[in-house]
Amino acid sequence: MATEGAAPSPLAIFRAFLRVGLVSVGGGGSAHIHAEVVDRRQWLTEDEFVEAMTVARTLPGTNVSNLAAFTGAHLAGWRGAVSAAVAVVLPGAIVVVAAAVAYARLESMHARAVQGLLHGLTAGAVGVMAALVWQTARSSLRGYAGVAIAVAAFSATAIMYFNMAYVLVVLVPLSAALNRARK
Amino acid sequence: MLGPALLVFLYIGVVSFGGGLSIVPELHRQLVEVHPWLTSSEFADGYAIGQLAPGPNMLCIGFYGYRIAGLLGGALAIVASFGPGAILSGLLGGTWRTLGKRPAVAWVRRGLVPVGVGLMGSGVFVLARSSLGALPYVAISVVVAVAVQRKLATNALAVLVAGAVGVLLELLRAS
Repeated sequence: MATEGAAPSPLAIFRAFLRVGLVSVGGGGSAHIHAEVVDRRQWLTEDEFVEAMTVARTLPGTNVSNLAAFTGAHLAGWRGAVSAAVAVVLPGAIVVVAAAVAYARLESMHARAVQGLLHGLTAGAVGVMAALVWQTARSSLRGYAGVAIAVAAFSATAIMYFNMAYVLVVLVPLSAALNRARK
Repeated sequence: MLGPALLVFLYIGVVSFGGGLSIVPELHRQLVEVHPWLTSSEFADGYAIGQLAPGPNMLCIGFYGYRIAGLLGGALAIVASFGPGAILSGLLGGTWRTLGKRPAVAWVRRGLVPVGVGLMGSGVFVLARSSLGALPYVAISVVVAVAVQRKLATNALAVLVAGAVGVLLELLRAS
């Protein structure tokens, strides 16, 4: 349950998303946002998170920063949006620019250990994202119609490479109609 | 060079539908082929640094911006490429509570969640297919997913352990 009336302050939002910005190594930031915003602080319900995630994916830009801005704005207006988006990007931005400054000395990027670290972190990110999908699927898909629509959306984009815009235009109304029919 | 580079980063920010991964080829084309700003290996190194750094992987753009136009270039590149999507998301997020109650939007919302779950799954699948080359890394992903799902480890801990295992794997393979 999202707590009504106890809207978090922009500072609290900044702190929560700064944690995400600090720990989300290797990608998979959405899973870290879910852990922080749904599991730990109950600022969003599971369904609200999936909605925010879908909107964030639909708009141009990186999913993680979009999801942060959407969630921040939903919780505390434009101050919340700025706090969340800046906090989620800031630690990594500092690291990346510092690495660019020191780049001449980074010839070791091709070392086996670094490649292993990269692959390992990415594999970890895939793992936490897979767990997130499993958890949201279990808590948000109600009935066979929901499962069928989710499977259709997955296969259309992941296997058949349909443009996401077409998939949304066809499946969202279908999904809404099926949802209404069950009520 | 700052002006033209910022236009490219802004363009990337506006057209990057489907998240960061889908825009990498176009980013490469713009920064390495269309404009003589980066070499292909600089691009690859920057991308790896973006993955190693915390936060969105697309932060590699800060690296590219710095290499093209210094500190200001790095900072503005991030603002230009993350800004458009973040502003749109903020506008929608801020009005979602009221917007979501309008009949048409409420109807769309009813259909949104199952489609969204499918798209999230698709995102993970595409990431896995493009990055998990060898079987041991697939195994790492599976172990991490199960450990996190059963609450045996936090996301951050699981990912860091996965990184350490990756280092060990490559060192063992080398020896």
